[in-house]
Amino acid sequence: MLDHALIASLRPDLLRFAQLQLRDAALAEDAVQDALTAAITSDHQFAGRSAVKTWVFGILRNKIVDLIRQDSRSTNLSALIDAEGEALDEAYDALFKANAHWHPATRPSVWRDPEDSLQDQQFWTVFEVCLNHLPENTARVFMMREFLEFETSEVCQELSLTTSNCHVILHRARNGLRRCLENGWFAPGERPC
Amino acid sequence: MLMNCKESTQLLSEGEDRPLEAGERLKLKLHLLSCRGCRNYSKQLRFIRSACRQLSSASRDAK
Repeated sequence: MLDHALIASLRPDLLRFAQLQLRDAALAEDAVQDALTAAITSDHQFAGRSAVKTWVFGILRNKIVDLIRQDSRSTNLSALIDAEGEALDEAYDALFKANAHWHPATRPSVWRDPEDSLQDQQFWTVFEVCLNHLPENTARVFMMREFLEFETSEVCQELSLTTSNCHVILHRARNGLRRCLENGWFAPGERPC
Repeated sequence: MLMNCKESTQLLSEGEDRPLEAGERLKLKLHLLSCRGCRNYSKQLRFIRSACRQLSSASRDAK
């Protein structure tokens, strides 16, 4: 039997993780509750907090994937993503000159001390804002790849997307996130507070 | 044939998702040697991946 205080202490991280990917507070709450209930009612023996967390996270991960899978069956994901891609592609194209080389003003810069940022709570707030700023379906493909750590081929297959389309979507998402972090966090001299 | 920055960024992203072919790796390497912007882009992508991994592992490992 699991300690209730321990279970409760896991909730915020799990909820944050589910919320980022599902973008629906009620759905995220349900998924986390289901995962925690499964842990409480399980007679599995856990060796410490870390083991419980790994186990509960595994359940949550499967629940998120199920929800994404269901959702992708009932919607035309590919069409939604194409529509989202137009604005992202426009922003991307604007980074380059006519010869497809960087505009001097938008050339990617050196990000100072990125490892330090990973220790900074404020960075994580910006990071989440940037993730939430990505269009929903594009972000979902990206997070399946980078958060749920599926192979790209599995992501495409689960969501019924072609491989080349998958690559395009991931490229768009990475660039969108990159631009947001560059402007919102790493831009030199713009953090007066 | 040298590649431009647009092609290079696309290949850098695909390199996160599939093993690049020898020819692709060579063209990319030659481009990166002469292009600071794309070298930075490459580092930025690597950073984004490590940030994502850290965020998702925070949900898995007790701190």
